[in-house]
Amino acid sequence: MAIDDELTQEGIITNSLIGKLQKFYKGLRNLPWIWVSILLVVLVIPAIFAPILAPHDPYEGDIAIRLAPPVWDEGGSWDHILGTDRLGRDLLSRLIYGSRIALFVSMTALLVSATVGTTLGLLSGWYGGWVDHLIQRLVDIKSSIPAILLALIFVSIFGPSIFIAISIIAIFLWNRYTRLIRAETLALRNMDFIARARVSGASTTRILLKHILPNVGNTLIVLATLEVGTVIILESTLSFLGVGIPRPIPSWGVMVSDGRNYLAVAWWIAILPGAGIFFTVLSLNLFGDWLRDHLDPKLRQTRR
Amino acid sequence: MVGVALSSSWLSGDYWIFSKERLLQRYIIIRLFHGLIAFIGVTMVVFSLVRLTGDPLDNLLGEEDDEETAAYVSELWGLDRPLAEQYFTYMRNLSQGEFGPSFSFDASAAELIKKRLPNTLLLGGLAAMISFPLSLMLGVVTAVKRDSPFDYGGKTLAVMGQATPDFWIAIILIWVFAVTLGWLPTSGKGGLSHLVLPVFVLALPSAGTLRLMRSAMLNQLDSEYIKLARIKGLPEWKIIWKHAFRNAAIVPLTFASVVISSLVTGSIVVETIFAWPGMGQLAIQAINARDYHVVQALALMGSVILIMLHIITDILYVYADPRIRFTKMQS
Repeated sequence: MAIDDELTQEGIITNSLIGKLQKFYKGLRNLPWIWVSILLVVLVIPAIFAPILAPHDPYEGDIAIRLAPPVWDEGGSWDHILGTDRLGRDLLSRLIYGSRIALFVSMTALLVSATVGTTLGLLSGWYGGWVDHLIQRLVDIKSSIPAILLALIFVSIFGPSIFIAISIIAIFLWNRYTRLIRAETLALRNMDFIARARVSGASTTRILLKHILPNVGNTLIVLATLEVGTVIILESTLSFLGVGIPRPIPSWGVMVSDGRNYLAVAWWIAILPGAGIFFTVLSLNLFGDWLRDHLDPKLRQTRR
Repeated sequence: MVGVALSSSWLSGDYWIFSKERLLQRYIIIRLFHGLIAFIGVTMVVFSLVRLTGDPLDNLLGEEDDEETAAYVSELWGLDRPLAEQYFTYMRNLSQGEFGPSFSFDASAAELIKKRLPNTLLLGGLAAMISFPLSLMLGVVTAVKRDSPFDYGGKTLAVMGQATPDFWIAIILIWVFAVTLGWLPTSGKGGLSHLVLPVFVLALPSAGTLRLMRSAMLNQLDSEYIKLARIKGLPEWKIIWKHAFRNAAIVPLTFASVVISSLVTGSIVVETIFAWPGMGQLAIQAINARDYHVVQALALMGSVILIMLHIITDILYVYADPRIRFTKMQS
């Protein structure tokens, strides 16, 4: 219904091919289930059921069948549907376990950065004054250091590990929450219901957690959804550069990097994991767009 | 002295007494002051982080070097001093434009950077020069031809581009154009053909400008003064390019800082993939060799660029949009 209204309003419902294409396009944007199901198929289900779904061990390879092509290529077999990598490990199994890494790392990093960023944003907006100044200067410093350089330095201090990768991503992204939540808190702070809560004797902690936080909840959820894609791209980029998830853990970024030198003989090693990243992030972004339009009209872009 | 500008009367809302120009001036001074604080913060963070990576002497001295040599070298570079003293010496030298010597090369950090900088600037500059005007133009065209198949194609490409990691695009391009077709070299520095793939990959992220320009342009085309121009009978190209374009272009200009900072990070990825001898490669080498001064110099250069961009963007914003001017100056 909403789609039709929008279309008639803009006067672009026509029976021409272009009109149909437009309707199809707008329909796609308004149908989150497509993106949700792609997400489920590519990311969530493989991540949860990895041991059941994966046909082979992701770490153990048979060097005798290294660089075996996928089944549709000449010489491929159904035993290794997407082929094997340079150590003879089954690519499909590694992709499936890779989704587990992607999901785990992105969710943890997201949780940490959102918690830190939101807390600082709440404090900054609520107290104002020198607390606000201090936190804003922290945000300034953070956004003034070239991110990848910081990651390189971090890894050279602590060595690569999943924990360090998560910390780096969290350090990269907390300031976005701070900026947004601070603005929202500033707007909410002077509202009547907050004053009444205070009059009735609620403590600052209670006001922040019970009254302000629920009111910024929608914004938070929308921002977090839109950030998942960024996190996954960031994680795979770091892993690709060798400063994220260490080998032999099957992270998609590491797999692309593994296949780099085998493009001429075994293209699938580098290209297929990237496709996993692409579809995951694409569906996440479109789902996030949809969520934003429905949950938080304030964040809505002028999209016409 | 600049701190006076930050005094409480400014923050508490007595700014009504100032004229708009004074207000803008004060805003700029405060932003510069904040930039300075951020810069000093960055020097501290980088200085201490770099020292956490380990002792540079471990990499430099071999088995045959005795403790005397080690003591001599660390005294020569002041590494035996207390950390606070090292920091102040470093800052004093920095204020005179000295980045310090490199530990692993027989050159100063500044010389090393000077040698690599043109290579990085070549890639980044070409990428910016091609992608920025192009995405502005395409933004205008997709706005004017709104809801045409062209417009939908552009939108689809933009959405897909946002979901593609740049290192993967780079690998696909190498696979198709270098390995399979053999038209272009896979990596390294050389003739013009070596530039095509890296510049293309670096230029991609700025496609976001296209979407921004499109929506800014649509806003302008909807406004009253454009209607007036149409009624006046101005030719359509003049309305679009002379009137609407000029006003719409401010929005993506403020976005330029995001594009340029993504160039700064993107160049590390691109230089790694294409084995391009630029600053990104130098950074990785220097960190591995614990070459403190080079890492510090690179990080500081990057952050000065970022800080300047933030300040310029903020000022442009305030200058361009009176509504933001009001709220921003309040906070």
